[in-house]
Amino acid sequence: MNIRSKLAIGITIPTVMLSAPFRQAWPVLVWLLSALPLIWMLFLKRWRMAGIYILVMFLSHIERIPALEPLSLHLPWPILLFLTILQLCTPGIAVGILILQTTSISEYINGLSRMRIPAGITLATSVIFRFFPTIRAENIGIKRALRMRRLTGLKALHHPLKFFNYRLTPLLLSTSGIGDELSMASLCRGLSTERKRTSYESDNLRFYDWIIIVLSGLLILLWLVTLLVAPRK
Amino acid sequence: MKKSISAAIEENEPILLIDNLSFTYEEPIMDLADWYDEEVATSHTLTATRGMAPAELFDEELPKSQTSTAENEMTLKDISFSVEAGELILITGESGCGKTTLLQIINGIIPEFSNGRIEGDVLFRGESIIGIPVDRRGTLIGSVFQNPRSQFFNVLVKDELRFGCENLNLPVDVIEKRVSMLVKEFQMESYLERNLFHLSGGEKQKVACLSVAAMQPPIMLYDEPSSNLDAAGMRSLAQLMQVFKLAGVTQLVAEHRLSYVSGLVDRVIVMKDGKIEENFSGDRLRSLSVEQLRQMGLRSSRAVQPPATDHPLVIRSPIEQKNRTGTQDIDPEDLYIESLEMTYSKAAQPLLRIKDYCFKGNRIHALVAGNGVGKSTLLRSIAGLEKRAKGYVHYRGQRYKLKQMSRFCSVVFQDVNRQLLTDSVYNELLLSLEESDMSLKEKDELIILLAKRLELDHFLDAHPFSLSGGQKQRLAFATTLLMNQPILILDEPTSGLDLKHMVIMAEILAEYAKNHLVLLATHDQELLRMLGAEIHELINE
Repeated sequence: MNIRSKLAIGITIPTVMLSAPFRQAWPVLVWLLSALPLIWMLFLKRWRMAGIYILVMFLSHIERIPALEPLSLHLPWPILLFLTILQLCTPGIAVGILILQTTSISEYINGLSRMRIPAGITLATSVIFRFFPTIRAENIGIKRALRMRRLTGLKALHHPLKFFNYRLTPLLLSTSGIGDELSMASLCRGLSTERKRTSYESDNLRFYDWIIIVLSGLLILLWLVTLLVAPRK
Repeated sequence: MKKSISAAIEENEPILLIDNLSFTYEEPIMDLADWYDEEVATSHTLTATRGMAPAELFDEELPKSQTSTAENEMTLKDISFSVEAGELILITGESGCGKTTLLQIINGIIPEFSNGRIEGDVLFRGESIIGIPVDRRGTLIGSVFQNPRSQFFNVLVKDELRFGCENLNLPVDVIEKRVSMLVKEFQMESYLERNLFHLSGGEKQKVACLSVAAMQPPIMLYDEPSSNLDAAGMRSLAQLMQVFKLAGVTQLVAEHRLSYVSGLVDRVIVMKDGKIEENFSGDRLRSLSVEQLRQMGLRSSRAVQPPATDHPLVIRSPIEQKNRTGTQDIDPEDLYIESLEMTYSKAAQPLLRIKDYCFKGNRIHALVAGNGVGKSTLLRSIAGLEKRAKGYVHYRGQRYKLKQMSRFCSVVFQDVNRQLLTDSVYNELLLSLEESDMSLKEKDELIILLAKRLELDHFLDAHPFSLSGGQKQRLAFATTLLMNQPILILDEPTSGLDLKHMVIMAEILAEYAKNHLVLLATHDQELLRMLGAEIHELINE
């Protein structure tokens, strides 16, 4: 899939799914769109991820299942609120993760530069692809160091601010240090906002890319129309 | 007067000429002395739970309490030398001598990333390159950095190898040709589709070198490229350098581990305090004895053989071992591991399986193994910091679960950036004494004493993250010493240290091991020789 069609999905799904008038007016479409990340996962053979997605979607819809009504009626409101948020956000988050996992940094930079998006924005956002695993690794390391320095448990509760500082300072400084070194290494290898880059991926949108982009456009149009005609309270 | 590049080549101009180069950092350094006094006087009203730190460790007299200002600015002074095409130049000297600054001015990171005043010039084939921005200099000068972790931009190896060439907007077929040539030459075929986050330090460094080499720059710079490499990794790096040398690439290597590169060196530049102290041929380097090198503050230029060990102990992992000693023979101070096992969630085979193993108390034990065998994991498991590790430890007459061991251990991690938690070197050291029952004055004295011994006393007010790699390692080491735990664990503690500081660390460790158990993992054969440690080899079968 071309990065442009991926981005079209990535923008469309969260936009329309988070819109209350759209969800009320087109419940069937909402179901179809919720299933889309699942189809994508199955297509990529990410079985574990698909399983988790099904489980999360099932749990978040628990209040809507008539058979489970005796249970869901007794759920306290914060949990119901949480489930609703989960219901709305899960498809968008899943699509985001899938885009991150299936796109290489070069593909992303080249795709965006072809969409005439300023190179500064493209390069800055491209680092996200590299940074999630970095932050995770740093966080684990800092947790170990805190434990070694006996800064856990009761001590953390007694001095929450100080503890927060111990936790966050090295994380921020260490990741920003990695960021600095990363940009040094990238600039030394000629990464530039001014020069064009070689593109490995074909520029041409394939047939199914066009279908995805057109459908995404139609959905956004439908969403806008729904917003306009929806009765105002 | 500037000449055209072709004219310069005809005149047999050196490929690189460093002409009277000086550099001064111009970032304002905060004077924190007043703040420091206030902080020491008011901070930390602490309760005591543990014994005093061993003041007798530090054989120097107590200095007067001092409030130093941060003096970590680095200056280069009148650096001049020329480099002929195809030469391999070794730039060496104590950490903080200006090696890295010099390379950063040559490749353009300074002034892009640091403010400062550059005087003098850097000429590439007779033409000044000081004004050329860093991203354009990449075609002339390729750079390999110290930390393999932070110099790859992509996730997959194949993307990383293409990355530099893509930035130069080369045609796809040219990139493919260059990459496949390198991949073939260095047998990287099986790596192409692998995730860089899952490679060992040595493998990452190899990818970093090849990614730069694919851009075919006439000059390559390396900034302490061996810091995170084991012996095999260093050999592989030296092999890369040899191939590049044969291909006519000019190479500048800033390094304090000399052994792996000494056979290839054409000329050596020894720096001290930002100046060139000596400039001699590679042949002379190879002829100098270890003692002569030491007098110059340099490490050995020959491959140091691992010290012979009369302890036939071998930890074989994940092969199970028979009970060698039996728990009844062990001394209370011995660390006796019982059925340690650690498995990654997705792997079927355990990464580590050690059944009954004993580390004798009040000694230094060194774990040696290649990159990626599991030394760090084993150390973390023993320190009770590896959640997935299961097993027991017998220590001081009790049987503990592994995770309970964290109460006895202090650890210098391989990446010390993650263990520096506070806003100044002084506070970092003070934090380690939080549970001590010493008075504030005693703590202050002890901190200053230790800081002086480890040559950190000029940086007490500096932020830990403003220190150099070697200084950070010394600071992390100091914090663990001050915790005064019965078991001290160190994971590659000397990767960023020069000879002088390695000797200091070895002396302190030898002293500390008289009444503590010290367990370290290292690739550093010189350190092992100095320590006279018991060697335990971790083998992956």
